[in-house]
Amino acid sequence: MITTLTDTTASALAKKMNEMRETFGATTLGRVLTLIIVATGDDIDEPLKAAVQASHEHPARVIVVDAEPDAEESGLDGEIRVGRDAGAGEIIILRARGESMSALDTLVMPMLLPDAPIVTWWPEHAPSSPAHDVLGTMAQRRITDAAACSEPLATLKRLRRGYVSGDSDLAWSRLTNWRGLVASLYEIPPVATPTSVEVMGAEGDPSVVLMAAWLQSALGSEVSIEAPTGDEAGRPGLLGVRLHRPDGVIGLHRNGEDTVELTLPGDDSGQHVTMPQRSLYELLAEELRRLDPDQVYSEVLTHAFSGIDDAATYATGKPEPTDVVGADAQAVAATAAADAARELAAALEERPAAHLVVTGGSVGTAAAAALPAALAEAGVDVSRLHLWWGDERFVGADDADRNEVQVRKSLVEPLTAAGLPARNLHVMPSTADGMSLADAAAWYGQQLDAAGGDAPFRTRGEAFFDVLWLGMGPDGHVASLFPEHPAQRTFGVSAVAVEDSPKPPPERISLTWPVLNSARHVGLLVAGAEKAEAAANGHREIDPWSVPASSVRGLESTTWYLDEAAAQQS
Amino acid sequence: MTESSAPSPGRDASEGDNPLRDPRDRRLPLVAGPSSMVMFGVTGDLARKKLLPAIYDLTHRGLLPPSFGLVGYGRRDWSDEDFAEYVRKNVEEFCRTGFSESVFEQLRGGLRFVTGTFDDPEAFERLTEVVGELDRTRGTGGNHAFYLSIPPDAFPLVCEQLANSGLNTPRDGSWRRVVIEKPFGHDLESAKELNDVVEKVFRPEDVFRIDHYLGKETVQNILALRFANQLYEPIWNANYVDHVQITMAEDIGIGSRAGYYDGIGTARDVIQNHLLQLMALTAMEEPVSFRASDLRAEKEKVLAAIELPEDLSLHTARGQYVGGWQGGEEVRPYLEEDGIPADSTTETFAAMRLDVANRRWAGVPFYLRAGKRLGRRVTEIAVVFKRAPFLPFRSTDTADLGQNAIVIRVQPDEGVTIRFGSKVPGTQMEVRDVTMDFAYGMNFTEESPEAYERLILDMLLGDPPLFPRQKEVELSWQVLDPITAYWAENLDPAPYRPGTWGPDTAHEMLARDGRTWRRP
Repeated sequence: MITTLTDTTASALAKKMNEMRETFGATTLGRVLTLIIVATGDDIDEPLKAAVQASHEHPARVIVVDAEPDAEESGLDGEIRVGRDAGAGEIIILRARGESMSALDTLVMPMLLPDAPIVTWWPEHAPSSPAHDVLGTMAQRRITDAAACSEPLATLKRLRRGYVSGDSDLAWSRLTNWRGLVASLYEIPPVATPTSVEVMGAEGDPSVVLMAAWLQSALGSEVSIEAPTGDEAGRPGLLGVRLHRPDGVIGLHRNGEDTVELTLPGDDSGQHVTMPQRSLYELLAEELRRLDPDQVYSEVLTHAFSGIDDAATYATGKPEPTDVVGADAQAVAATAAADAARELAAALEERPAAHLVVTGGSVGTAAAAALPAALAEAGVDVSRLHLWWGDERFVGADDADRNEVQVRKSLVEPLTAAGLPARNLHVMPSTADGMSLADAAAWYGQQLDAAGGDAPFRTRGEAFFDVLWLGMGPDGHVASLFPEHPAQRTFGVSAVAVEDSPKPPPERISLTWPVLNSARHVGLLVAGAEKAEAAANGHREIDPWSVPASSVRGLESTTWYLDEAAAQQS
Repeated sequence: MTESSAPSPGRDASEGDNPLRDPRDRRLPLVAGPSSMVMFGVTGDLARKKLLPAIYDLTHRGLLPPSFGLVGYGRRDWSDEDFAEYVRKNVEEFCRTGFSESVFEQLRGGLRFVTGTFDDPEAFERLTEVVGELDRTRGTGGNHAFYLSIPPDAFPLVCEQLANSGLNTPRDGSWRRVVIEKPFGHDLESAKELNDVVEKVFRPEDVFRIDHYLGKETVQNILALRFANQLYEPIWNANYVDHVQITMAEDIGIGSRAGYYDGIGTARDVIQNHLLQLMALTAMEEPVSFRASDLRAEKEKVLAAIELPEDLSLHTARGQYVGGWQGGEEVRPYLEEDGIPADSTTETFAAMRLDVANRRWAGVPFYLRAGKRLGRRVTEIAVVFKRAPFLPFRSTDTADLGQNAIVIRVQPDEGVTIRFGSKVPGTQMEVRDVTMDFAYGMNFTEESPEAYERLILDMLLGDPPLFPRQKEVELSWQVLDPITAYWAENLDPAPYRPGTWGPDTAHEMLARDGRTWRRP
């Protein structure tokens, strides 16, 4: 039975579903979990088929979240399937349009089974940090599929950065049968740790990389990846494993969809082993079998990509900063505004939207005030502009301490009057928004990720923002990342809650290192002699921990906008 | 980890010597290590319908090593190819996971057949050679299991031959195991004799007694239900429980098992093993851990605490089905089944009251019943609770209210039911029994394997928790022997109509205690 509701609400859907279940007589079935499938814009037929099959083993309520962020009219459509069309579970398909996306969690909330565990699955388009995704944060288990993403290995690496226990990737479950087989072959007497191991498969394949990492971390042997050649070049997935032991080679080689050939020391006749490639359903069913964190996966993933935890990596490899020195703060602000307007105009030539990050502070406020005129002069279509903030004080909405309040009259109101849509104005939450500091930071990060920044934020050579302005403190801090402050250590999320800020007020929200380093053009707006030393330090080598200002770089340019006083020591 | 580490003798490689088997890696399938299995009685019904399909299904699920070898031993003058054909035929018919040529091809490479009788030393010589050949060509590593799917009276002969040919003795770092099926004897004495025969040849820890009931998901779920929850344990005692009913009913007759069944009867066939095991799991105290030895310790304690009724004539019942129409087909009486003597006094239905003499269960009777040609095929444990001590309703309000119960269904549809009173919607206050039912997953999923698959795999992995030890077997016979002895002297089976729930004597037996059997 399938029912469709257009322009509805989550609670109306939940009510309708209860009605349908009662009519259908399926009121007493046990459900063991809620499965959320996040399929924004993707094809949902395949994942849904797998979920329906898996529901026979794990009776589940399946919620598919599909979204159209650019829809003209905001709202929600839904579809409910029970009975024959939903296997042993029930299916709810939610299609969120426009601004209803900004609170995806409240869409699924009425539909979640009470108490039962939640599993969130992204069949494609994995978020970098599933645990911090708006639909991932509520789940016990978060399943991604790096191999189904456009850049599988880069995705896996991003997932590694954003890993939180409870994450899992289908690239890992695709290996389960292989791993079981290899573990049993290890026991063939005379048992000996292999001196070296070769893993066959495309180097860019996440499963191949994980297999190599697993064998290396468990055996301590030398493991190399051998890319397939000839006919096999381009075949996806793991193609074989060879264990070199003193007594000879134990080899496994996939020679068909369903079969693997096994060679043993002293017997190269090639035993036939059946190991079909696993269907999506089998992978999903395996994931749902255990909902506790997979520690082994965590270790293998860490092993596969080591040494990527240094914040400096986000800033390195980009053009060196240049200086623009003005007479005073006012002059500096005017130059910065004019440059920004020009760059935003250029961005809009190439892309449908342009993203600007504004800041507070004396120069930042002055530059913001100069911006409406500069934008008008550069001919920027303000209706396609998005406004973000680099950090914010977590205080009352109208508190004068807030960066947004400082530019409300001079920037926000004029731009709104000039046609900036409300949905393009991304103000950081205040204490008036009914969220804790941690929730507020998470929410802002989710808004950033949902706006499409997720992958560019965590991938080298990509940028999301067109222009990012930052002020700098005399201590060298940027946004609210202070020298030697633990908030700097957060990489997995896009925005971090800062407590115990050395500068009052103590509670703040700040963008994190990967996000600050995800702009085409970075402008550091600095004035005053008291900042001269910090500005000079910021020009030296990249050292995020002690000198935050040294560690934000734009993909195309980084410019220090300094007045003469601040430029004294640079 | 740089040095090679061969598994130490007597210890299984799967237990931690393999760096690729991380105990935290719960995803990694427990694939049996290199090994082969020698099957005696390969042409029997059990082998045909259960064991061979189970081995195939394990292969299909990727849980047997690629090099697995299966050696059939029997009188037939078969070549390896003939045997392979025989395996294929039965696997095609009885396998659970669907027949695939490719999977069979993998299994086929390790199939061998040795022709011989149990008393033929030369045939055992050939068997030794074949097993050695598998070690060399398939890499089975000297690990061999012997599955004795044969009548117990053939055990001494086969064990002796295995000992003479040295097949029972493992080389360094490998193992030899023997699998035996119920019945483990037909009384205490014979069970001891049988065990002596087997343990003379194999070490006690290498003897795996298969009770396929213990491989069932729900049986293991009893432990989870009881010991993982806070909800049940506080009421799991004589303060709240009125009585416990354990039922194992089959709707079929004895079929082709006449030769075995007659003279044995239901009590020895299923109560001694399956029902007493279910009772032990239901009644035992919390084990220190789920290690095999700790589980066994608790089961043994509770089996040792079982007390028989003083007057067996009042608290046991015994029946034999007569002929008639059952569920749309006409069935023969037991006494006219093929191969059953017309004056047989073997029972096809048995019921008994047992008590457990400990603080938890004093005064709570456990009623056990089992039989053939009963109302439907069902195995369940029903824990029936006392009535609430006071009901603040008018008596008419609660006329339909029975006793609360927790029912653990072992088969066919494995699950748990809780029965309690609930108000009937409407303006009148009326309380009636309702049931809340839970069934995890369905039978056709990959994760509900046949019990035999589970047990064969556990045996190959050397994982013993699901296998009863000799001590438990002997304690069970100690419970049953006085009853069967009394029956043989004093109580002939009472007739019952096929398709019903046993003879009147069974119902009278409960009525004497002021209770009734629940309809499963």
